Amino acid sequence: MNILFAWVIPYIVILLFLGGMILRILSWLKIPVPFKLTVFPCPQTGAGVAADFVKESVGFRSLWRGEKSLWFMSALFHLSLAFILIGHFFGIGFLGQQFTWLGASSETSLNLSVLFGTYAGAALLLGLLLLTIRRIGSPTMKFISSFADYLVLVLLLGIVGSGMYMRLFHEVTYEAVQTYLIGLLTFHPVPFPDNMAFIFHFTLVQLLLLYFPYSKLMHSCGLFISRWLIVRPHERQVILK
Amino acid sequence: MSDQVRIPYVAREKDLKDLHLSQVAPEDQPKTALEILGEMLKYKRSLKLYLDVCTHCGACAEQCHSYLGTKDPYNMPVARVDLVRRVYKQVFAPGPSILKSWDGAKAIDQETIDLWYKYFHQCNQCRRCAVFCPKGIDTAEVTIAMRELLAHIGLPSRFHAGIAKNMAKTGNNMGNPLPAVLDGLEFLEEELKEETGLDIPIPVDKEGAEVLFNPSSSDLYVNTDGFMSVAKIFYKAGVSWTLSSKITETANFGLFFHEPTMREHSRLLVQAGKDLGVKRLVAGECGHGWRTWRMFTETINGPLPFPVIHLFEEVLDYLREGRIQFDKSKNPEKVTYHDPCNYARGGDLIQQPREILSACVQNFIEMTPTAQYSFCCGGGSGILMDEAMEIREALAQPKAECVRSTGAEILCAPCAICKAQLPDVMKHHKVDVTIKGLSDLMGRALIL
Repeated sequence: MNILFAWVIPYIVILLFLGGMILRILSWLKIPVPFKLTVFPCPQTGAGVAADFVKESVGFRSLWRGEKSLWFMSALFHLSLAFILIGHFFGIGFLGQQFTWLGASSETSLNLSVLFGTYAGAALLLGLLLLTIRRIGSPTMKFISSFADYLVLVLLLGIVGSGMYMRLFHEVTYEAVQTYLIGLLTFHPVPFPDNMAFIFHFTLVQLLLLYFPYSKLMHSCGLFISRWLIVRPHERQVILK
Repeated sequence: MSDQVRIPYVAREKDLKDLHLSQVAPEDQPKTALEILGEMLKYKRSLKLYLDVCTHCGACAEQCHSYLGTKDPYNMPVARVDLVRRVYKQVFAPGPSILKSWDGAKAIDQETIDLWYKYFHQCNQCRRCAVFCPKGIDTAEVTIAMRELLAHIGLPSRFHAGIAKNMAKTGNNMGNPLPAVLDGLEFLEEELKEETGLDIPIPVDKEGAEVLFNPSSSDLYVNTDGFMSVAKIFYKAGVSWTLSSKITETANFGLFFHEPTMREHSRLLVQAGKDLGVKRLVAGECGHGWRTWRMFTETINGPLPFPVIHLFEEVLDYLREGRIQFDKSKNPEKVTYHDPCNYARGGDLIQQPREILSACVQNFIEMTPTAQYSFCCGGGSGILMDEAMEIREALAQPKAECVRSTGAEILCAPCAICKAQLPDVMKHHKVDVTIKGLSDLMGRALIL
């Protein structure tokens, strides 16, 4: 059992995730765009388009134009998710020592890493809960929601909830996780850290990754391709002064 | 619903023939529809992307005048596109079918086609949702595709098919034969003489003219003041211009439901310009017509031998060069400006009309929301059928409130469809305002 879940399945999951995602992206890119679909006013240059992408993916500008409460929930969720993902990389990758580069002592660095992780996790959980309440709370949102929309929320709530549980009640050390992940990455697998919350967390993440290429989560990649259609700079045959 | 009357009315068999379309038996419609949808997914990146990347966040719902006006949940842009998305998930989306069923996948049936017909005729293709959607999903693209699909299974609306037929036969949407067009123009020349005492010409087929002006045909019969204003402006600026007898129509209804019609319409105009050897083509007041010229003509008709520009850009040039002057005091009323969707979001005409307005109107006030955030008049994409009047009134409700809160006496709406839609619906919503094109206001203020 341990061999299957700790050693074999993670490789299959990551292959299916990356492969599925790339295939989906290619399936969009290979289709032609017969017409210029620019929505005005639009950026005039490539740099302008890049700025639009940043404003949209970091600042959630289109949502800001509309309902501000949705903007808040969405920004809270996505930004803290980004923060958490980066935190996972540095925290596990450098065992919480990443702040020593900024001059902190080893102990302070670890404390800061834990502190930031806890706050970002709480913010992520709050964002998720707000989005969930929004989706189940109004008849219009119910009308446009399908089972998959709830499923993604439940999966994410499970992942974030188990993460927070580990953080607050049943800690798994950075070292233990690092040892396990390095084992996977170097193709010398070692057993799971001895922590049920971790196994639950890790399994849910794998389920989410498996589902990712077939789900609406593909908006994370499709966003830029679909925005390109409406913001690409439009060259005109005649520009009047 | 298929045996009930659809609103808007469906085209009759004889209307279809002229568009090289044919009726499909109701029991075959779902199958044929799937084949066409499959083809479209292969050449329209927008369509496939929009069906894939929506997260059902609902940010579009409260931004759609159609939903705000009708309160029908299927009129939320997300729900409207879901009508297609569920079929797409069932048949075309990748992945195991269990996952697709979680995503709301549903087999196509006659009821689906009924819903498509109904709700894709309650979208004005105004593209406001694209401004508020974080993924930039432009529901108009889906509506255009689905209307095209419906046309190919024999279900275009009678009104649209009729207009496309008129266009093919006479070169204008009103279906006026050439002698009638020429008669009308002669009458307008006399009117101009009577009004100004000057010999202001309305030339037709004048070879070697600098400008080929292409008005909306409705301006030749209904909103004649606007058209006469244009003649005055060309006269005053000393520009040699002409109309073409082959085509007196800038409103390209093909955009709404039938690509071959759109292509043929564009081709006809470009050919007319080539034949007359003009230097540029100036498009008259028409929103979606302008979007077609500005954004699509080069793509569908190849590189153009001359630029296509808008009347406002042309007039602005004269104004800046001092070739014409306006007397603001001729327009003393409180004027507000309605941004036609296909000018603002669709065709990059936001500042130009405002610059002209501030030069020829004494008391100009902005509406809220405005420019690319402006609401549609509710007639967009040719939803101008008499039988759909109740729907049109509902679709216009958000706009009516915007206009009411400005307290304006004149609503400047420089688009043939807006001009056809707004008088009726403003009256229905008891907004006391006169609708005029921008040309009308320019003509009144022009110092001859």
